[in-house]
Amino acid sequence: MSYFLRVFCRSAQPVTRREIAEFITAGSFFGCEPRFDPPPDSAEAADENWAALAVHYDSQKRPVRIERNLNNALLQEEVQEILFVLAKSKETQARQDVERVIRTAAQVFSLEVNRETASEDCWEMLDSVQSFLAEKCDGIVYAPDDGFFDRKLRPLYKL
Amino acid sequence: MAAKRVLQDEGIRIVENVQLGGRYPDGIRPRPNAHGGTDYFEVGRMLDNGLPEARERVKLVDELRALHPKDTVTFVDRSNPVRRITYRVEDLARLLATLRRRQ
Repeated sequence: MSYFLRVFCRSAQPVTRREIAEFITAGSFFGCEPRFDPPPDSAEAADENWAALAVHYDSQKRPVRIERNLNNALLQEEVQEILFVLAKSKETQARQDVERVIRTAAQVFSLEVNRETASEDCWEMLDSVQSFLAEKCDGIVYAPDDGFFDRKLRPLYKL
Repeated sequence: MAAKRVLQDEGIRIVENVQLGGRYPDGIRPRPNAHGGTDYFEVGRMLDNGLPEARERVKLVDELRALHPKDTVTFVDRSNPVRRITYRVEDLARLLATLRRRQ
């Protein structure tokens, strides 16, 4: 089953697929170097306008898919869905702070992973990439069923 | 996960890296359906209105674009596997409309 981690960002600053791929490669998360689609040395990987990056970290497993949505219908739809989830939880100052960030998000990154089959190495990589994106674009991390986290993955609000 | 166990009990094969439109469905019926096509399955969060959540709908759009006319993709609610919605190629426009309405 797909599990979609999200990084909701206040800044619309572009992060290219090349930057993300180079960050993952530099992290040496896996025994073998992962394969990226598109490849980091391709011209399209440097394009600031992009939709998806696939990280093939194990030939036996489905890749991690990273998507970027910049102020579009999907971002607005997701904001509404998450506000609905939040509305069912306890109202605190922390919840209001999270809601404010979600409502004003300029872009969102989604990191899709198969929750049941992803390796420990893969989860470690995902944590680092979320932190990297949140740091770069002034974002917070949303882990469905779990909660919201800051750029250092410290809890902001637990669901 | 309960929903995957339910699918397995129905004879659905849970798959890891079978591609459909560049995406990876969660299950496949091993035998052709009554029309000779393939039935694919996705498990995920379904909204109260009966639609898969938006991110899942985007994934389904990519999968529907790759379907053959006799194939289906069934989305199964992860927390209540009785709740399902089955899509065919001809449902593509309807599914896309649910993603465009806020533009």
